[in-house]
Amino acid sequence: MTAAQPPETELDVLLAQWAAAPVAGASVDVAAILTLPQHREAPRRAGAVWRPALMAASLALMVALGGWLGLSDRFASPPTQIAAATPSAEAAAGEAEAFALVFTPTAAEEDLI
Amino acid sequence: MEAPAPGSAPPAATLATVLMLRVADGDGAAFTQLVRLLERPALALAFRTLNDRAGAEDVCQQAFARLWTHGPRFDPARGSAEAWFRRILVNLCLDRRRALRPVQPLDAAAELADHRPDPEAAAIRADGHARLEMAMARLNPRQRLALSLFHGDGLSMAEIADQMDTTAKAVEGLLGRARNELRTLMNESPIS
Repeated sequence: MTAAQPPETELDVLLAQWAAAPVAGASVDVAAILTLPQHREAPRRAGAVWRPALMAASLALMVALGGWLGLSDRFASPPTQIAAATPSAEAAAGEAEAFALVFTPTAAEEDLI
Repeated sequence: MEAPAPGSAPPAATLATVLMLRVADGDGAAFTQLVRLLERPALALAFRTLNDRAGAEDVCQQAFARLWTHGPRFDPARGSAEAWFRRILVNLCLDRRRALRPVQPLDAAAELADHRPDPEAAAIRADGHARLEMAMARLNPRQRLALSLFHGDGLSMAEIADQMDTTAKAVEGLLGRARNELRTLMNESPIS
């Protein structure tokens, strides 16, 4: 058998009695609590003062470095070009001329010979 | 109107707030007085919320320890010491209820007695109390806490909302649902 649904007023009365019921004998151990240290705000460390300045300096350094790297392209010497001509092409262009240049002795060489 | 200087009590400060300001300076005697002032209502609130005497005592001890250790952070401009302490207590109660499964001494609840001369009236009343206790034990912790703050501590919706980090409208809904849930659970209760 189920009990009848408690009406609003009965519930209010029960809740009021529930809330007003005395709770006897609190027993907080004050002595134990007083041995605990209190958390006080620690004074600001010297490092904390310098931190924003350090961050700003780092940022400025990064910007300067970035700028220098960007400008260095403008002043850099032109890139070294690697000869694309192959020995065979050079030879084909003037093999005979080159041969003559290498093996034609100068006047001093002729004297020596 | 001139604002009170930081660290000084506002003009209409409660005794607890005045004591709390001394506690913030590490005054052990003021702390002892403050504990004597707040421990009974604190234990009652914790007990109603947790429905467990030992648990309520544990939570009170923790709450007072936190009141002492975090005392220097108390700011009277942000509210009274009672409200600050109640907030600590409420959070600890909810943490505990989250960590533990609901504990209800069912036998004890069923044996609740009323020492009135009329045995029939006493039986009816005891039955109501017992059904309420058992229904309370099955209630959502936040609903139980809201009922406790509303009926036990007599706080307004706005004050309960402040304690529970929610809105007054949400508290109104919470209390409404808690009452409906209680009625249903009391109806389901096997005690007749």
